[in-house]
Amino acid sequence: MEFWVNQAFNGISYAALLFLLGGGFTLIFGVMKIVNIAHGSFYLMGGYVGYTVVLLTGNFYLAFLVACCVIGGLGMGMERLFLRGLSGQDLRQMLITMGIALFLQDLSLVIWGGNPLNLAIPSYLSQSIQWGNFYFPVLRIFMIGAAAALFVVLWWFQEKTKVGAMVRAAVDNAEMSEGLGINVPLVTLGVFGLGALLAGFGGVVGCAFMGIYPGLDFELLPYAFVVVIIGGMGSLPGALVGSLVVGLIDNFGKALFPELSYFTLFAPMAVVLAVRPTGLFGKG
Amino acid sequence: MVSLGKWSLAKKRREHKAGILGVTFFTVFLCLVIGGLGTMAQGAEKGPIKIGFISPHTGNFAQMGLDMVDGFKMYLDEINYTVAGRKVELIVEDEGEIPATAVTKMRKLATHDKVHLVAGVFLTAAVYAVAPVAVEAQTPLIITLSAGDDLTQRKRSKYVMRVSFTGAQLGHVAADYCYKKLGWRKAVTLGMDYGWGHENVGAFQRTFEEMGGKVIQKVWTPMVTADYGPYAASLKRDADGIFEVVTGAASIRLLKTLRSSGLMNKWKVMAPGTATDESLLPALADDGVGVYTVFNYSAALKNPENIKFNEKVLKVIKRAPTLGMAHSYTGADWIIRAIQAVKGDVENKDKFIEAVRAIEIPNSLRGPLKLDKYGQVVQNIYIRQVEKVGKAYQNTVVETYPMASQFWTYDPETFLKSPVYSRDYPPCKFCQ
Repeated sequence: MEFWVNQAFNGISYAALLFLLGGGFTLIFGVMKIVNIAHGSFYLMGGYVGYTVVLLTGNFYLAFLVACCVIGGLGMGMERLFLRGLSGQDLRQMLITMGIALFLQDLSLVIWGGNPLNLAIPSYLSQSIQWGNFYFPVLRIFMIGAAAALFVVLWWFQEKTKVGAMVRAAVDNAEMSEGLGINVPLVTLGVFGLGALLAGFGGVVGCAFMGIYPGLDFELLPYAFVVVIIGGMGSLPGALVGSLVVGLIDNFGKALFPELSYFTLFAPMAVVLAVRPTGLFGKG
Repeated sequence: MVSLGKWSLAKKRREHKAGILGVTFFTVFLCLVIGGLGTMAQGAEKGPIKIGFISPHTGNFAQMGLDMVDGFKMYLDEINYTVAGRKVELIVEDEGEIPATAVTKMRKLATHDKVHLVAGVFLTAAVYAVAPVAVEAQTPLIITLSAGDDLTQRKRSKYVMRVSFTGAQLGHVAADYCYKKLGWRKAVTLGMDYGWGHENVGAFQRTFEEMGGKVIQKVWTPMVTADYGPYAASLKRDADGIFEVVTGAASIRLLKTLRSSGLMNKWKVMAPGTATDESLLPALADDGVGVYTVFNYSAALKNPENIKFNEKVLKVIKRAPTLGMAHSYTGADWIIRAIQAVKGDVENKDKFIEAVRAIEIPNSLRGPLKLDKYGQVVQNIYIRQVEKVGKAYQNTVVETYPMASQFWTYDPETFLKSPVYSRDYPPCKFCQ
């Protein structure tokens, strides 16, 4: 019993972090149809910016605000300067994101050094709630709460607001939407910024949860791939389900068959690709 | 004016011709002189001594690799890159994250740069791949940081020497301390799933169980593990403590997880010293306090050499001293002493290797050092505990095992008859 509760809790909290990473990834893919290799770098830079803010001001929540603004801005700048001119040329766009990822990784090595950094969190977050035999670290509960809240807000935005409808229209058929007077380049810019912002937010959470260091960006990217491939490229609920599946499978896989941890992670991806190539929630 | 012009033109032509001839002669002359000088110089002093240095500059262990280079350079600066009348040339190469990169660089150093020896190397997996290349090229390899037990045991070669540590050299001692001083009778182990983890855990298990303890669970984790939560939750709670072998940034994640899952209230943690390297301590902060580690060095050692070293590092490198810097510094010291012993004649490889193996340093910053006949250094092994002193954290030495061998108290020849410690050796008799 203790085992199952602990593992399920761990799995869900890890899924929360994966959702923050995979959510933005899938949004960007939905609108621009490109795989953003620099997405891990957004996460990394978000973590570094958050770390710096906490170091300077000591305010944990300000770190989120600043990291979201900076990384969101970084994403929009990147879209406007580098990707806009190449719209429609997926391969070149992807290569540019690759280049930017490498550039950002080296930049962070120069600015913040190669040592792993950990964000100092308020003491009430670093405690654990003990309930009988169970320990629930407050930070993990915070992660789950933050990811859940973000999902609800994003889902509401995409499904219930007019701007959300424009985004969906641009995803489904960009040319038709332009014909109807929707400013698709602006939508693209906004979505790219939003996706980057989510990764930046995730970076701050991740920096507190497991630390950051140059190279983490490319360590996490495969997880984001698995999440969106299982959930379906471009779908927000897909990203949620995908991260829950990956988080839980990864956890129980590691706990029950530690030797097979990569197999248990990538096997479901292979199965989904074989049976339903568009992912659980993706459109064909 | 016109005639003058013609005349000057003709003169110019003549001059031009003469110029060409002059240049040609001058060039030939220069070639002869330089060529002559070259041969003369070679006869006199044979050019610089080339030292190749391999350490990671990219990826997860980039900072460790930079520390290694800085420590090595700090020593060479002290001797002004000159030894026994010859200049020293250092050629630094990036080990990368995978052994294949390190092998490429080793080949380049041996065949293209024609270095006289290679030092450094960080990752156990990389050094196992690099050593055969060094042996094949007959280039002395002096490992200044990496482990990889078998390179000075069953796969030893006269070209490979190690002045750092082996996994087992630490694991044996850790088991002795845990059983005798910490009173453990049942232990769980958690190790990174490659040579470094296997060799540490294997040594720990053998010694611990021979004394009467039981290892009741062995967990192996991939080198890249983002979340240790699931592993921590699956650890058997009826153990007395955990011996863990996790290095680099991952060590922070593991210790934080052990702390927040409540296990550290119940258990003591023992690990090889790389888990609480001085470069990780600020990020570990309070989560690391109380963790025991076993290692051949601590920046908090109180001997005069180490105090001097600490001061110098803060002045020259301007960062807090780390194990990477200390190991490179001692390694450079070792190599330079050997070059002095052969009076700079590193071209005579057999003589040089003999000299490297004969060096004894009675007062290094890690304490006394000498090589055993298998090429591995015999040295003090320290039990350390992370402690908060003022606002900073340090590895306080709580116990010293003087002059521990890679074979612990076992007879080397008998020891070498059993297989190298691995994932499945020794087998886990008490795992439930």
